[in-house]
Amino acid sequence: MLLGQIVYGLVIGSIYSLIAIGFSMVFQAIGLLNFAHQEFMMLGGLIGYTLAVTLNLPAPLVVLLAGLGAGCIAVAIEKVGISPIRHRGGAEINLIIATIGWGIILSNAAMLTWDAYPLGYPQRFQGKPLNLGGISIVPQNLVILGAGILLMILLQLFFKRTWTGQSMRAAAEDSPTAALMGIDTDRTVSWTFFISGALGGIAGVFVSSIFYASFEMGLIGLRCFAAAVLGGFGNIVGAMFGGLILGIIETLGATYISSAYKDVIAYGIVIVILLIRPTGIFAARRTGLT
Amino acid sequence: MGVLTTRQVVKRFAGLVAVDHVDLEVQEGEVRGIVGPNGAGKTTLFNLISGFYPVTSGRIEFLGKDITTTSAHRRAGLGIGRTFQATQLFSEMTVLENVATGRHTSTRNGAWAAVLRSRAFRRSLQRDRELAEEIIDFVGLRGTGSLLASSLPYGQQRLVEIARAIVNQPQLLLLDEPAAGMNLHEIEALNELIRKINETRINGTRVTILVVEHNMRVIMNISHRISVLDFGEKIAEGPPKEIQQNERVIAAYLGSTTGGNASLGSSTGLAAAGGSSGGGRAGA
Amino acid sequence: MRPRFTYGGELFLWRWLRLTMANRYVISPFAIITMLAALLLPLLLDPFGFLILFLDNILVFVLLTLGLQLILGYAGILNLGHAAFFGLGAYTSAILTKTLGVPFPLAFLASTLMGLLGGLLMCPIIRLRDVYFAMASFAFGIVAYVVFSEWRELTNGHIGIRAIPPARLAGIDFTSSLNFYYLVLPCVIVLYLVFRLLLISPFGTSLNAIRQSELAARSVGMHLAAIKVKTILIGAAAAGAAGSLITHLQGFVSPELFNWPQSITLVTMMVIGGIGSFPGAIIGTFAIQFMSEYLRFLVEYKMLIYGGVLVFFMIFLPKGIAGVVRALVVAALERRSAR
Repeated sequence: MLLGQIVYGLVIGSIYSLIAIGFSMVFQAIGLLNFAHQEFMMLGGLIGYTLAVTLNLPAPLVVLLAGLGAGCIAVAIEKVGISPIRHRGGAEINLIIATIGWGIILSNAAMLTWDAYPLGYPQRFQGKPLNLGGISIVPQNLVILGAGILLMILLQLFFKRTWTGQSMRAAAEDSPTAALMGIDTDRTVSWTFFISGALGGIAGVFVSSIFYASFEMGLIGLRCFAAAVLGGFGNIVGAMFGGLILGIIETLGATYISSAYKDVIAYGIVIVILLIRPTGIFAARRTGLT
Repeated sequence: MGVLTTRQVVKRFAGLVAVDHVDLEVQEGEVRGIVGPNGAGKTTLFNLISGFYPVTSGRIEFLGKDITTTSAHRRAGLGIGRTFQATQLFSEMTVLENVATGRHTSTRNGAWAAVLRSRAFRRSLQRDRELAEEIIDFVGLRGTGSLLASSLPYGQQRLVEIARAIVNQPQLLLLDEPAAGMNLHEIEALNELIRKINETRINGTRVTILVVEHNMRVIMNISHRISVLDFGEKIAEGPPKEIQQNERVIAAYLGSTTGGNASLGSSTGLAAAGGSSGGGRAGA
Repeated sequence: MRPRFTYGGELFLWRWLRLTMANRYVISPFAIITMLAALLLPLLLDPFGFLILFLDNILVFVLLTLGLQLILGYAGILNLGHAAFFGLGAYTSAILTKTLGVPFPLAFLASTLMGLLGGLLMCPIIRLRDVYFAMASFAFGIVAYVVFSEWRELTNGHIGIRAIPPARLAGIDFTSSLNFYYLVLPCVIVLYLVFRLLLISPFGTSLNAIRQSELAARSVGMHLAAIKVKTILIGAAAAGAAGSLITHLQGFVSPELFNWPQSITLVTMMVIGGIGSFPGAIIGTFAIQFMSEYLRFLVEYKMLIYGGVLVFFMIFLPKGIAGVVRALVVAALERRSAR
């Protein structure tokens, strides 16, 4: 029972991680709290639904294309509605409100496109439950967990090994210096949004295949903000673990404490972490205190 | 009497020791220069004295009173004024308003007095403005009072900052690289201004000044004594003439790897100042 | 013949504009005219009762946005959890008047105090800097919402508390929207005047100073934390009072009104109206409330347009409506003085 809960928590957690990583990446790159981020997840879920049901594509392709789609939309939004504000030296609050505006636009455009009803993924995405050492596990969950972890490893490799990844890290660390060294910081920001959106989109397919896809599902994604803080905002590895931990805390908390108060647990942790360890539980570099 | 005393003051940032067991004893009316290569801990020391950072260990005394744990705003009220390495002006305020904020700790600022706009309250506002105007004249910015602080040329902005720091008549003034970004002409005037401030008597005592400065010509000219920091440690102290000949100091400047060019430039400045100034005003 | 409304050959209007722009009035003539107009407005709107009800609602929100403007616009504190104070006030008043039969004036005071208490609860996070504070206050708002919706014994959960007795003060019943208008308008006016006086006081100078340079503010002896705490307490108390009023205006409370989207909407009002301007806060409140009320004909496109307006403003009019008006007035004044 407990083990099953933990595995399920990890599955949910790996989805949270994917979303939290995107949230953190954007914060690290341009210091922005992206309140539209959870909508990339929602878009991924809905695009995935169309690909899976209307076009009847195989699951891996659905995941890939939905990620690509959400990533492209993220870049488009960055180009049209985020960077112009930054280039004019807009205040933090203006950027935040702009992302809130985009969030509203995205979820309502999605409602007009896909309608307001929840859309379930076809049966083939779930598979038959397996019995592993006494625990009943839906294979889909294992696939999600595996795919999630694989994605995070790939992301680390991307940051360490590729030129684009390295320049993104450099630009996030110290943008002016990176620009002096010939890194096109506008491009790294676009890349950041693309990856952030794509990870969100993929997470959206995962979430929708477990539950359903809907224009309102962004609300689930908002909780990943807690995961991002837990891991130290702007710390990608931290966000990954933050997501996993949040998934477990939430699943166990819902079972053993009260499901009604699970948001209190998650956000209470956010406040406490920000106060005692603003760099999260993993890093010790930046500080949020004055 | 010692105006400022630091005893074995240490400041550590996440493993890095920025200020390492520094002892300072600054006498009333003294102009004390603080020099050292980039990253030697000069600005950190200022932040400790003015209370912007808490010390890791050690003790700070001001006018014989222990202020080690006193918060920054209280220290300002006690009579420690300061300026910043990178100018910190209130950019949306006029020069006069900027300088008047320096009176903050002396103004009647009870919320009720303000809301009811009592007579005493209005009088105290009026007094702030008058004092601010006086000080603006004093630092040589006459007629700029109604201009936006951010519209002034850089050198004058630095003077506004000094004016704001002295309008409340501090007994100890900390100047963090006041000459940075000034042209030769302005530097000349700055030297004169610092001397004038130093000679001002407040309640019968002269204003004590601590100056961090990279420009050796300035520091040799105005300081009575100089303390030299390197890697957070005080490596030498004495009148300008002695410091110019101190071998450890010269080695620190030549040997420093942090910010190579700047310190090399400073070291030639050290020699140049030694040649031309013919010894600062020695002795406190 | 010279018209009588001139002053030394200059139209009063221009003189007023000039002096208002130079911030020379404690209370500008425009503010006075607006207050007088607001006092007389219901006589004009009398045949349209629903409009007055709508105005009542907006004025309650003005209490919220004025307080938030002080916090966000003047102290520069990114508070994304303001609705929590609103909710605290609302539930206090609802529970006190309905369950315990406490008279309205006392409940109103208690709500204000509860708002203040909410502000105190937020104080520990005051030492976080900008975006970190934003995150923590956002989390604070969500925690408050969960408490409102899950502490069923006290708040009746998602269903909320219904049939709350109307406000009564000195024998007057404030059930009708017209009467209520004359309850909430004085609150707004008093709050506006108090804020105006605060702003031109040393406290206001400190607020401006902190926003422009925290370092310099500390160097002249300003106690940052104390000033920020005071700002939050004042804003929170105003929000608590607003909560009491909304409870008695609606006759019911439910947690959704105090969830995080409400906090965000309040910030939106601020940004659309103009950050750092009290008239801006009022304009923004009206603009957003009108939009959500009168864009209904767009049916399902309403929210889409709303989002679009937000983005448009942030890109092209980042200083909000007040910023646009200000720029126009300054341009007009400059053109006149150039002549």
